[in-house]
Amino acid sequence: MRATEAPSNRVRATETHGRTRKKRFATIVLTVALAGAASVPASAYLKLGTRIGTRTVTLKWSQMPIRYYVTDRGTTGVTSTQLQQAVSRSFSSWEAVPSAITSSEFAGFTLANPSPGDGATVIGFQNRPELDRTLGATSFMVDTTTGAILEADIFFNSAFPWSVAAQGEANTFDLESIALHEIGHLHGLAHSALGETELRSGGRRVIAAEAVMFPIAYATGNISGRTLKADDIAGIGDIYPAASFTRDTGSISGKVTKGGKGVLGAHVVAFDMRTKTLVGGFSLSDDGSFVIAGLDPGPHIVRVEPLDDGDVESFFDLTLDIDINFRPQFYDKIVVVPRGGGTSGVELKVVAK
Amino acid sequence: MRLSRAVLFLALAWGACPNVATAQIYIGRSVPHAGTVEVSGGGTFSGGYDLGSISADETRNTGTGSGPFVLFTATSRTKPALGLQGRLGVFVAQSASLEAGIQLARPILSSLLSGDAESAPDVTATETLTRLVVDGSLVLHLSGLSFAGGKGVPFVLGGGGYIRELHEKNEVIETGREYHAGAGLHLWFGQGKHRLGLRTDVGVSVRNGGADFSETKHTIPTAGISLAYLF
Amino acid sequence: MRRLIIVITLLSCTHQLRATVLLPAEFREIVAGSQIIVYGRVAEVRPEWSDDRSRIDTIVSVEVSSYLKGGPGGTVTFRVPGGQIGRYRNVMVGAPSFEAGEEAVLFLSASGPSVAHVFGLSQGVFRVHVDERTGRRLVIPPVLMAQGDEPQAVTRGDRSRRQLSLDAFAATVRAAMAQQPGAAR
Repeated sequence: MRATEAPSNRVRATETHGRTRKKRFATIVLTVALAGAASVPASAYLKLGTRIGTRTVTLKWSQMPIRYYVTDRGTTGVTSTQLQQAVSRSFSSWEAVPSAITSSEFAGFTLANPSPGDGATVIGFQNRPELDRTLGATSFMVDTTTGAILEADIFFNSAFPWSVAAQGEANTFDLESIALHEIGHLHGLAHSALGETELRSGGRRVIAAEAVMFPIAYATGNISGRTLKADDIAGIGDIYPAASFTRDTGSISGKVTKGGKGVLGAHVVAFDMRTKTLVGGFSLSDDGSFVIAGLDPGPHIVRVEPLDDGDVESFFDLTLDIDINFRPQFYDKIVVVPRGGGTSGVELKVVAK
Repeated sequence: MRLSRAVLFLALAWGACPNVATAQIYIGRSVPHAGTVEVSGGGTFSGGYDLGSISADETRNTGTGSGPFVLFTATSRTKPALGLQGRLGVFVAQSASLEAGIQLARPILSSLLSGDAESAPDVTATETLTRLVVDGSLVLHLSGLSFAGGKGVPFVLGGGGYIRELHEKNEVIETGREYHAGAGLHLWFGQGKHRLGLRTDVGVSVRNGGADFSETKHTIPTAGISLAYLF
Repeated sequence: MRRLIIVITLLSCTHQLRATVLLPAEFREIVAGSQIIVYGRVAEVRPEWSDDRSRIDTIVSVEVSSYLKGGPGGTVTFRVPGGQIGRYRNVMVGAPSFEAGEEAVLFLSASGPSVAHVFGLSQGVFRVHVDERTGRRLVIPPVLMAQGDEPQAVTRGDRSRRQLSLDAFAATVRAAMAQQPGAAR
């Protein structure tokens, strides 16, 4: 019964090409978030976490490289080799962020599906027709007694048409764009709310986005999602900071309030006036506190908006009392981010709709 | 009798004054010459200038339009500012001096936030800069155009300098250059080798860099008024 | 075991796993694509291994308060990806999670004898909260429904878009159903 057998026993059954490597389980240690006042800047935007007992634990790989397998099965228009190459390029994009330290290792092809319970991190195509409207997803298997990540898996739903064409292909989804997004999740990044959508017959689609981690895909044939944006870079640097992240970037912190009370779940955006880039964050506590880290030094415009466009569940557990009843608003001061430090005390006073 | 002597004395004095006033104020070695030093300090004014518009853009999806999606626009401006200045000049000849100056001002940088895609109300966001300008100038003293018995001596000047602008909390520094030209007037109160006077000047300064989002040159008016001391 | 690295930070700077890439549906598509639309209270949450024993799913049972579409009985059961068995927790990023006692309006798809699932992974979940001030039951997230054939930008902070009361939400669902081709008039 899978529930009781050691996950490592399953790994050998998934090896292919005659190789029998003994998988050595690295002890993956999580970063534990504790209650209390922040003494270091928190995330540029959401980091992934899961509740272990009464604690919320950040999901983070403390040992690099992240070893992964690729399912040796393609789909219409994409071979398994092309899949592996697209995945490799996506990992490389994250690893190229200079303010973050991450690495990965392709461990080989496998016949196993990207499913939890086999002790291996597997990425591949899988036909999941019951997951209609889900292009891809990332799963984690966590040991709740230790908080350790046992494995993470990514599936790309082969119920949809895919392509790895260099310039994109009409009527197909760009695999590398979706892979880049899902591998961001695999690293521990949650969603970014930097994007705009429109309603039309056939559903809701993206008008524009300024983060690979925006939860809604670009249109078929679009390859814009292959390039990391400032928001993504700030996020990965926050989780896996290189020395330059702490030394060369700064943060903005403060509160979102309405009628003197804190607003939970507000989306706060910092616009860098020199680099013209956007980085977002959220007010994540009842008193409306927010922190946006990983910002380049210099003057910033700060703006706040509600997440009332139907995507709230992409960001928050809706058992929380998220406030969406307020209007977007600017902060009336230019906020200067110092190098290697933070600017605090930014209070965004919003008004009800 | 005493009254008539007083009147005579005053008349003689009055008669003598115009003569003194019309005489050259620079007498003998009192004329500024190579090595004469002038120091001055006082107030300064620099005009404001536009810093252009920048937009917060998001990458557009295929088929939803052309060009980036503009979330909002920020139109910025540096406001006019009063400040302090100090100058040290050394005459290299009777009519020419080289001077170094330093100016300090705290202009306000304002940015009008408008055109929000989600109708956030327009707001003007501000911060206060700390601006330091260190410059050098060649000053030509137009003695031939002096008036009021040589008490008023116009001059022209030109030079360049280094701008250092600090954002609020003095944590982030932006640097630039400036070139200036102008004209002014010395009004000396006294005569002789050591004298106190008033210095005023107006001019234009062409600036590049500093806290600027437009990456263009700006031409702004400047003015100054200082107490000057020549020795 | 490596020494734990403890970072003092805001407790809520990490959050529940909520992330995947979706193709979001317009509200009428959610209505049309669901065979069951039900309002009720979560009675039981039971994890189990999937049929092919490759993952852990959770079977959620809901005590029905009212049906807006379909009507299989006093209890409706559906499956969501993820769950915990023993010490092992499987979380699919983006899948909804439920706790006993929660109220929600659920849009469920079912094909044949298989256990129903939520439309669009989490798009068919509309949570019901009791407003502390008024005591009214309010539904979140807001309904996104296109007006006409032309694309309409979804702007955040739109004053016309608010949380609906449960009754208003149900009326919206019925109105959407009435617009479906072949709907009874």
